[in-house]
Amino acid sequence: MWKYISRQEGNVKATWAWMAAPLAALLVAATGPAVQAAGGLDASKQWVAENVPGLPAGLVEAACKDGKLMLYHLVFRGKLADLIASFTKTFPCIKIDTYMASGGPLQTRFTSEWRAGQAGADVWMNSSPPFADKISKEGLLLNWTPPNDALVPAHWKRSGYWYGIGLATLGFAWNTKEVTPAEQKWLESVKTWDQIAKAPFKGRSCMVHVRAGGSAQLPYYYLLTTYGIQSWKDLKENLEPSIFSGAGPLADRLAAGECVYAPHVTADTAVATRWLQKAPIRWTFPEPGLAISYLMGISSKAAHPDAAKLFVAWSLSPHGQSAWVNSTGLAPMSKQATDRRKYAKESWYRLPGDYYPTDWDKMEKALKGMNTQFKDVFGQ
Amino acid sequence: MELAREGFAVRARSALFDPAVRRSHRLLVLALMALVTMLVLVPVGFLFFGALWSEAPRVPGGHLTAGNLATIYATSTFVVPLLTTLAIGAWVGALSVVVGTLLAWLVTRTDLPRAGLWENLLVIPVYLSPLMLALAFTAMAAPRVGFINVVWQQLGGAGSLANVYSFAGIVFVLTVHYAPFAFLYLLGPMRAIGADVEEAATVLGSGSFETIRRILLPMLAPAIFATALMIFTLAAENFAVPTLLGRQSGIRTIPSEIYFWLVYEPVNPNLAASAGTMLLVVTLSGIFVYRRMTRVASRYVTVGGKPHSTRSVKLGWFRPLAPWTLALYLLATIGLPLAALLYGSFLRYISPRLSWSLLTLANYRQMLDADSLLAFRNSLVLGIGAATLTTLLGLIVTYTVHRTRVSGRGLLDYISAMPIAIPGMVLGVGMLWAYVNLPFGIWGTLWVLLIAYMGRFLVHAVRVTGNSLLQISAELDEAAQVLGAGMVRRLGGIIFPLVGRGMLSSWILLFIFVLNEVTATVLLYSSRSITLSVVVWNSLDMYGAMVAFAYSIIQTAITFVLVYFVFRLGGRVAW
Amino acid sequence: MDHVVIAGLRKSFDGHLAVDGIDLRVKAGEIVALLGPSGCGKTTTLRCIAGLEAPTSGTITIGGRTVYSSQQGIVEPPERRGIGLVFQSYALWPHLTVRENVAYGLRVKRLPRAEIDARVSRILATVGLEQLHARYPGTLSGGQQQRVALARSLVVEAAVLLFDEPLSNLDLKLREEMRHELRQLVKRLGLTAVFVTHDQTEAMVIADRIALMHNGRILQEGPPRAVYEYPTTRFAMAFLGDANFLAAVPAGEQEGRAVVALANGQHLHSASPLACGRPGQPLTLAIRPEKVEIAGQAPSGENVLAGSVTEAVFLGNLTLYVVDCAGLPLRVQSAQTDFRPDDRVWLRLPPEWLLALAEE
Repeated sequence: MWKYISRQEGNVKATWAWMAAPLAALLVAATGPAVQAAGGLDASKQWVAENVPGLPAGLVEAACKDGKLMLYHLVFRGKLADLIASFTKTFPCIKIDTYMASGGPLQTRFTSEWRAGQAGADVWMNSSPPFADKISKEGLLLNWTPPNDALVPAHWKRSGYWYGIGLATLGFAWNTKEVTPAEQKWLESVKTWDQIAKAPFKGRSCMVHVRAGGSAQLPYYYLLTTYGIQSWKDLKENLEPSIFSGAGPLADRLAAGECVYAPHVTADTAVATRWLQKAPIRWTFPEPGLAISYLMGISSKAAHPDAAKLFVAWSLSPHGQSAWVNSTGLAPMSKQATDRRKYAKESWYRLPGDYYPTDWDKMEKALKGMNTQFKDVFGQ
Repeated sequence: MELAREGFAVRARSALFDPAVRRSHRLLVLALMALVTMLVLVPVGFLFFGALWSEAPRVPGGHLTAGNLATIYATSTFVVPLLTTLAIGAWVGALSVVVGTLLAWLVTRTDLPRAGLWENLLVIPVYLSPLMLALAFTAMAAPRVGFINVVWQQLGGAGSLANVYSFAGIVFVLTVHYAPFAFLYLLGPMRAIGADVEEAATVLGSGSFETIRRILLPMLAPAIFATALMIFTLAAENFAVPTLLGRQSGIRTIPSEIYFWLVYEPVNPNLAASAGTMLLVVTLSGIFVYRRMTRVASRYVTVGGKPHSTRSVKLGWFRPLAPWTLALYLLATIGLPLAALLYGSFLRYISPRLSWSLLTLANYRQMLDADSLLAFRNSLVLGIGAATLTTLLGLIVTYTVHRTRVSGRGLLDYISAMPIAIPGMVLGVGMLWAYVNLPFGIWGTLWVLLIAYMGRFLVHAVRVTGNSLLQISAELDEAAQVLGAGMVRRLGGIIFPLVGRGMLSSWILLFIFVLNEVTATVLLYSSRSITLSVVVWNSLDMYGAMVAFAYSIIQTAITFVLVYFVFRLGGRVAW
Repeated sequence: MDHVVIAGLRKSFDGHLAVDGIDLRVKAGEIVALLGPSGCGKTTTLRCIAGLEAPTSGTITIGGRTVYSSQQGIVEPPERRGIGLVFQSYALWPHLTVRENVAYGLRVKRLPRAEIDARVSRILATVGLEQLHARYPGTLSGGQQQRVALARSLVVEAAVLLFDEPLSNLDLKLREEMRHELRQLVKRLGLTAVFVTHDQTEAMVIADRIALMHNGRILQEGPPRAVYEYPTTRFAMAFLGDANFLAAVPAGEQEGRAVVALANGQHLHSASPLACGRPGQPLTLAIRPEKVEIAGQAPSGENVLAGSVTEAVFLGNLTLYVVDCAGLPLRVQSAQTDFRPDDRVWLRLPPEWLLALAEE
């Protein structure tokens, strides 16, 4: 009997061993990520120490405690998946949720939520510096200066509130299959903005309406303040352009060859998208460079303020700037970014050397008058 | 006498204290009022506030101002856009109703071969959003490079055969989209008219045309008027078509102005709210006229207990030609644009030059990410949920309006109709302002979208089911009442089955509306409640029109399949 | 016992009084017809009884229970009044079969299934529709639909049945048959019924009592024969049948009966007390054509007028003559068939049938 039991005992032990193995495996599996995350946290901290040394100690832990980030961003080519992956690779403890809309809805939505006390955006993006300034003054944006603030040129930020992530640069674009070699030659010779109205594309040109956002307004504003209203009239008389409600529809019709030449359009975004789809399009940035920076700031009611701070600091780092440029297609705003965009590698592609220092406030204040003038000159 | 009875009710003492009104009815109306007010009046109220206030709601330092309204109504700037908007609405309304009535007549009253099949086919243009139609017709008929014009030039034609960038182009595209609405709206009422009505007229020696003019049209007058009014408003508030097609030729409409104020910075929601009130007056007065017409509701009752076998009109020599005519109509209005969409969905970018290198599957591959799948699921859930709930609510509202005597029901009618007059984009702002501090974590979830859709589209459910209900004699309801059936039981056992087809039409219409609704959705969605329409909308900016083409092909296919099953399900009506 | 009592019933639409103070009592087991031209308020009255219309004032009692009282603020909804109502349009539900239509009221009452089946079958047999129970109303003839509507109201065994011109959609032959059938059925089941019609023959065949309505009031009430033979107003006289109207003035009294003078100078006697009138005030006298006696020779007695036949219309059982009596055209219905136009005839207007009427 005892014998029997002891033999049984041995069996029991064996059974235990059998059962313990998968259990242990399960335990390892369960704790595995935690172990990894701990390693991740260390890696994250190390990354911060190396890349954004001035960041307060404990911000990474606090951000991981937030664990989440709500990013309200503009509409870019493709999804921000690459960018988000790049961030979460360094900071795996933070999950990024997004809401995507164009500039107007982003403004309306963010301000409405903020005022109603809804914790909506942690990080909010836009392309209107005056609007960002306005809500900074009202306290909607968190007053916080990341330690790597200096990596962004002064013109593309308002230190303490909002920071650019990339540039929507204006250029003239044309459909390469619809122009003659002579016309092509002429197009390649254009270097400055005063020449764009002299193009030989009467009735085959298209432009974006002055009211279609800041990037649509900027070239009109520049021409008006630099060369006077005659420059607009030249556009009208020499080109007889079709007017589009936005850069997207314009780029589609340019690719289709319905219009052949667009004297000014945000080329690296809408137009480049069609180029990537192999449409016969090319563009040039005249001097001085005209651009609007896509910007972001932290909501002063952010539910995850530390994650937001970490995200902004990361975005300003060379690593972050490169990620923004290469995943959105925007032009880099500083030398920090490594430009790996496909079209940037083309021989014909050349970014402007100097950017025109636009006074955003003045430009916005000019809009009302420009609307009227636009109507007078272009009939709408 | 019917007129008098209706008149009494309008003037009745307050429903709440009228002993003649049952308590349960009063409660029902109170509940309905509360619900409809929440769904409609709250966001609309915020809009009015915004129109009269210097800042957006909840912004400190705002004050009462007439400035926004003055900018819209008292400056010459918006006179031309307003007139253009009204003209577009009027043209599209009139043309759609003519086409829709004719089609509905062919399908329901004549011996058209395979009428059931045509009924399903003729509705297809509804499945495509006006935005997609506009893009498709741009591909077809853009000057010089549109497919039609390319073929025209190949055939030796000079210049462009068709130019979609014109007033006529806008009206055409909108009519293509809205004529099937008229068709859907009028099917029920048209079908409900007993053949005896026509037979009686025919016996009296009146010809087919004469019968239509003198008998059918007058009988259908309220339904036709309501339909025309609705399409007028829908066409007038549409922003996508005039924005995409009108800009090039300098055609400005109020909605395309609003588009600038809301989509591009600097935003001016207050001004947009002011402009958004513009159509309200027109629409509400239209509804006033409609209510006057239907006051003598008994005049239009056509379903008594009488038998009717419709489809009695013999087409004669036209019978063999009719399918060809319809086929031609379908080809022009849906075949070509659908072909353009299908072809375009396989292109890298749209181009008049045909080449193998243009073809790609990338546009469809784009849809396979997790976001799209979530969006598909959300859109289906919202479409089915909102269509079902709104149809039920719409029927209850319309029943209260037409079949009970409680006062305040007229108000219900007006309130539920308000959103139709407000451009969706503006309404979206009102809804954002109104719902942003909803309690219980509703904000940012599917529920907000459901609420928004119910509010925005309730009017369609009310009208479509109303068109059907008006054809049902009140006595059918009263007979059940006398036998002891309460309101709920009557709604379920008598009214629902009798207006079944109207409810079906309403359901399908709402489902499609919800699937396509984007202008309000972009302001209200969140990453978890993203919808297909938002994905399509954003993909236009992200990748250009081609990916959007692919989406709308898939969306059309889904809608078609779903509608087919719903029709099969609902088609099993024994009587 | 009075089963339905209506007192001081008023109903106004938009300030217009459609029902202007109706008082009516219907005894248990009695059939009362509300008779009148369209727009007289009869249907509104019926709908008020049913509860489908909310009266402006008055009281309605059904089976001793007040279902409406403006003073006490009582308003019972139709479904709690315990009545049956047969609509003019039948209001059959097209999506339900005959059996389902009829069973509806019982289902609402949540009766056991077996009982519902039994009662529905019984009532369908009663109205002769057992063969058609599975059909949809849309496939039935007008008469059959009418029976379904009737069965649907009868099966719930409401003590009071209301009929709103239920026969007006049937053709003449069927209508005449149904009148008798309907009356027999209601009587056999011992029901109380209020029957609205604009057809005086129908009212007389079906009803035990007629309430003649005009302009929202009951002008006259009584058994069919009394109402027909002794109408008190010109409207009642004309509405209930053919009539000769004679304008006259009072011309004294003779042997307790009034003497009146016609426009052509002829003096006539009338048994009607109203005919005494006030001297000089014009009067309306009336006599039904079948009460006028016609003869080829001058009869003896009073109220004899000589004239000549201007028209003779053969109606089958009777002949209608139009006789010109010194400028006064009179219509006469008689079994005699032998007079021809231009024949000289004598008419006697029996004083007991020569009625003096109120001009309302």
